[in-house]
Amino acid sequence: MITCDKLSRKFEDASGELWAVRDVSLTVPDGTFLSVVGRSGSGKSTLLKMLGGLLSPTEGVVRIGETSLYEMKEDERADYRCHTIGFIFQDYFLEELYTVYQNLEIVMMIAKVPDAERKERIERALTQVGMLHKKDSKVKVLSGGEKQRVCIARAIVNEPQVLFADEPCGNLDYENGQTIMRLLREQCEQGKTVILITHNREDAMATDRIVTLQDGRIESDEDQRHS
Amino acid sequence: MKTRDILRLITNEAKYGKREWVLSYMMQTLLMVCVLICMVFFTRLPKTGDILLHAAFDSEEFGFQLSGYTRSDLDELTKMGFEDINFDMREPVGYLKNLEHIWWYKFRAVIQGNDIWNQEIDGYLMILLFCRIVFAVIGILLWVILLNSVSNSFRIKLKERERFVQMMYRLGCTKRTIFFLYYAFFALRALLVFFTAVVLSGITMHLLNGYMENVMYLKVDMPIIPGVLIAVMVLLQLMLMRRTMRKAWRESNEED
Repeated sequence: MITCDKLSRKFEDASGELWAVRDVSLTVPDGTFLSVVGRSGSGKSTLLKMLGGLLSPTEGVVRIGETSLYEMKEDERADYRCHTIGFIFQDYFLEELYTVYQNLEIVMMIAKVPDAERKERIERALTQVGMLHKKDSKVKVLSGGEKQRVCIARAIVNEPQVLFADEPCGNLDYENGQTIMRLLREQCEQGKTVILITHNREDAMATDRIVTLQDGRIESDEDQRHS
Repeated sequence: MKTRDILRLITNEAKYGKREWVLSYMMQTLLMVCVLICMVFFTRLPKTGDILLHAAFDSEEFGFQLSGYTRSDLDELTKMGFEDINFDMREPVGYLKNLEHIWWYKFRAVIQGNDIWNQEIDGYLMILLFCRIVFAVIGILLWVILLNSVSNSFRIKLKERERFVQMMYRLGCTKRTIFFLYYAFFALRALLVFFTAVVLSGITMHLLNGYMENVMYLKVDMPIIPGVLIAVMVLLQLMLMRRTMRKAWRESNEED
């Protein structure tokens, strides 16, 4: 279970201070497919980074189970990102000159997975997203939808408990976007917690719960399963 | 991360920015060769000057006026290498076979309020000293340019690979590991530059020694590999790399 309590993040620049996220309290039970929606600048990405251990909050606490994320040492937090979370980025963050296989292998290297296990786990992850036939292709020749599927494979190859998806359909057409949403739903059905950041209300409607952010605060929290 | 995986990632890094690292390699090697040659001349010029002066004046020893010295300074002058010292003349005179450390003796004499001089060869000694200073200054300036070039290479590389570094960090790689990856990459590049520069400067010294021996009939024996110098330069360069990389990381990456 992921919980955050009065989570806030302030940025300072020449024009003064800006609260990107303010007093956000949230509990995300295991196996939930949650979406966070809001306009540009509403604080969605900042919230995701704080939940993912990438950005320390100005105030508040993030807990994974009973452990406070920002009381961990840096190495422990890196280990958390490696083994507990899978990230899916809007801009893919794939290595264009590497093959699909090599991109997934990077995650295995970081997690120090033994060589003997790597091939099987990579192929299993690629099979889940329907990209096994492209494992030796260089990423630069793939389409946008294929790249995003590789991203999902990379995110799940270490069998994490939580998936964070930051605007995964942002650069894709409708059909590919639907494919990505279906893959995320499948991951949720396998027991993973999926947190989706999106500005697209239609994508959010396909999730179990919608949290709407405005000006860094929670405006609404709707449970879709009972509506 | 396992050592083998780090080595694989380092090898993969060579695929990126090939043009930059080939040009940097050539430029840094050339600079390093010039630095090594300057340092060799700086250290060996006294010995070479000694050989050249002996040959030019066809003399095994040179007489020096020892102004201000008295019989009580005999031990000190003997330790310097002076022979046949005569205190009975208006100004004491001594003979020196080896002129390698003459400027150090002259400097000590001036500190003590004395003087060691030879009207005939002092002009030549002054020229040799001037050349030595010029080689030292040029060598240091070239080394500063070399360090600047290496520093720029880091910045260019880290800027170019900013997304990769961010990706690694988000995927759970520690800053320390990412740091080590690029530190090792640049250390290998620097070693490649050094070894190439040592070979090229060694060839240059060998050719110079050959010219001096076969054309000028002088055996100067310039050292082929200035070992200690290289070790010190490598160490200082690695320290600079560490500092530059930490600064570049802070400028280009998220803090958590």
